[in-house]
Amino acid sequence: MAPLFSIITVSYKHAWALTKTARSVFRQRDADFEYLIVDGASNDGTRELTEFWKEQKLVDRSIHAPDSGVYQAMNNGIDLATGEFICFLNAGDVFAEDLVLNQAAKILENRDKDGCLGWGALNDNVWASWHAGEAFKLSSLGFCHQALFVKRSLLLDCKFDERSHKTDSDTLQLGRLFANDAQIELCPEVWAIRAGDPGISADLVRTKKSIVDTLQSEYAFDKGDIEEKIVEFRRKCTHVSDMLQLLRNSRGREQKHLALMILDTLFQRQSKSLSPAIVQNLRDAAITALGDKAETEVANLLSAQTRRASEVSKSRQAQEALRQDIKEFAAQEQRRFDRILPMTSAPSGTQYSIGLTSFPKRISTLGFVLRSLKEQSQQADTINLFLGRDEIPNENWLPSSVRELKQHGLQIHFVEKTCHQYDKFVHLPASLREKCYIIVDDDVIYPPHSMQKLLEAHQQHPEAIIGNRCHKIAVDDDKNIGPYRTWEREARTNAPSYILMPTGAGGVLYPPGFFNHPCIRDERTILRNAPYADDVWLKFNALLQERPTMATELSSGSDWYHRYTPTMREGTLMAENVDLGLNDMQIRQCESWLAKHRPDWRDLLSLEQ
Amino acid sequence: MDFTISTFTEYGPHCANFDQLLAQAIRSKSGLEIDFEACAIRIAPNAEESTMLFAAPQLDLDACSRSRGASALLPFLETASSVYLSHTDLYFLRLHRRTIADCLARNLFNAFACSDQFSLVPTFSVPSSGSKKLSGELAKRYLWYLRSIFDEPLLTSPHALDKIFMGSYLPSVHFATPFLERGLESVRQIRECSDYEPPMSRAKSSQIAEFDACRTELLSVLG
Repeated sequence: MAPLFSIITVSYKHAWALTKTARSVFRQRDADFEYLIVDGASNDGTRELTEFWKEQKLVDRSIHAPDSGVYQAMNNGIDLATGEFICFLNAGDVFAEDLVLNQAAKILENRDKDGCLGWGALNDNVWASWHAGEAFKLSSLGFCHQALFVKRSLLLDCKFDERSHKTDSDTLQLGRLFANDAQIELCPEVWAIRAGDPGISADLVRTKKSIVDTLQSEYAFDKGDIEEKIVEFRRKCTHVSDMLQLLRNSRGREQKHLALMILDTLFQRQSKSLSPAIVQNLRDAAITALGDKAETEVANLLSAQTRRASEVSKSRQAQEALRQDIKEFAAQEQRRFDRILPMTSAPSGTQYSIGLTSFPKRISTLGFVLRSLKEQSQQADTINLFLGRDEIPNENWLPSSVRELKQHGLQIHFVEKTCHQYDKFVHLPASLREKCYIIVDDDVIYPPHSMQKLLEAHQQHPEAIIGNRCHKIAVDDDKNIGPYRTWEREARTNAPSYILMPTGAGGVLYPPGFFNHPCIRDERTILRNAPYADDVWLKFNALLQERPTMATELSSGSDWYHRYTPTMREGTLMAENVDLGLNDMQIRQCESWLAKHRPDWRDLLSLEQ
Repeated sequence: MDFTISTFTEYGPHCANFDQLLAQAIRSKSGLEIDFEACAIRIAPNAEESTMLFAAPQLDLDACSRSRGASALLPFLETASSVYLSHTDLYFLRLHRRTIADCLARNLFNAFACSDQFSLVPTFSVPSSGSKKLSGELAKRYLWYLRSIFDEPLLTSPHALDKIFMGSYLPSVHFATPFLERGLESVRQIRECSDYEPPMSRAKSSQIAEFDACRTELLSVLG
């Protein structure tokens, strides 16, 4: 029996962004759906990642073939789908929460609807659809395609315009669906969070050309370059008198669609540049043009925009609350530093470096983490921060508390596309691979003796991996690894052991040469086996290299951390890895990978029995 | 005196006399019945407990709009500290992004996770056979959910069903959604404004004033 929904993700050379998108799909609860990936023959590990998911039965089908662009890929997705309704959630986009499909199902089941349309968000912006009609052909009216669910049967007859210059085929398609009397219900809830990367919309010249093309083909405006002026008005609120004149001279559907576009534009940020008198003129002209529909349309608009203001306001309040938390946190941390600074901080007898990665939501508290690393009782040669330019374009995006640490041994490494938590060792320079390398997390304040404990244990066990926080892997009599939830947390052994798995949160010391192995930093192999669990991946590489793990005394007493930062909850993987069973899936996958390279690896575990 | 409203839409009380009727109902502390296509909700103050709102939805589950059912409840919550809905209704009524049943499951989760006692008062002093059947039905519906959260010993506890049943009384704080906030604000305005005029019968100038106020607010929030 066909599923209710086909969720389709189109991707091209965005494997790591795809991991984020797919996780938000896997997280959907109580919903009947299939998940499809349409990849334009990327060479960045997307195929390997998709194979991983397919083996875990998380992805149903996929395409890996060249296409002419995003809209042809989306059309290919329509052909591949079998669900009654289709939603496109492309690489980098995520569902806003885990009940989106459940909610869409409740709207669509048992009702004579052709689809439903929610809202989208990104940071402080909310795309708030408020009008259900053909006017989408003339302007986007707050449309977010990631929140649209439409009957597959309708999309088969109304596919995306694939021509290479098109960037607005999604809004055009929605307008055409409404023009064909599709019954699509609006739902004023944020259902999707759009990717930070604006994609094809970033090309303003191409976007303008595409919209002008749509306006010329769909409307009969009889005036020179008016289509370009419409685009300019929409973008920058210029050509006001042209818009007013056009509105007064137009009739029928042209006039109505223009009026709706003007009203919508008056609720966009760019309209702030307009004087009150001009706003009044535009408002009155648009309301007059809508005639007897005005009252209903304005009521819908106001209802949606009030709700939108509330959503934005809520987001701002949450940011302000976080700012207050961070302020208080900063004061507490300063008092702590004042206490610990008189401690003797000496260069370490062992040469070592520290590595970590971060992302935008944690940047505001990263300075505290780095400072706790700088104020260690045994100083590191360098502290290496790895950042993806696709998330943090340059150093200007970093707070001064981070930048000023460059004078004290902080080295910032920018990579073109982030591999998330893997950045800290995938991009590790050769010079750092030849000495001890300690991996830490970006949301933990480390006690001043954290690194010292790791280094002391390293001097006693130079071949072992050293962790301040380790879990004991559950192994049965047949040398099978048990479910992750059955592992003993924060455990120790008397000697280096193969059944300890160090976790990055406590700080993990890897001995010189560990990261020189050809597999360990290979993105395709990582995506194929453990896209969400760097700790698991590093553990299986340790088994491959026959390196046991030693836990320091900090592991058993939860003394491995001083405290978490206020941004700790942002983007954490742990809960989802456990909830969705992703940890166990990745462990199984890594077992198979390791068996190919080292068939006798289980014997290492049995040494501990 | 009871009042009847015939239409209700998702975007608010578009029935011309809705707010007027609501104002009268609040002033006279009367019951109110909202009746729209295939979905009726009767609201009445609980005779024994003044802060308890007893809502008895009569839903044609095949045809009704579930979100409408929930939105119809919202304005009345200001006067209630808790709401009772039958278990089948819990499943279908929708608030914000979740069904009320989801809110219920969250309540249960929080209470169990904190090893907390339920402090809410049931309306049935002695559970009837009907209420027992309903709680059994609820348990059946949500056991899959609860199993993923709770330890086995709790689920096999002889008191598990009682706890689930008691959990179906939802403190109104759990309805704290932007949707509700708007509803409550509307109720407050009605109470405070003696020369109240229903919005949909207002002149166009009022709508324009609303337009300007809404735009100013949004643009100031957008920054």
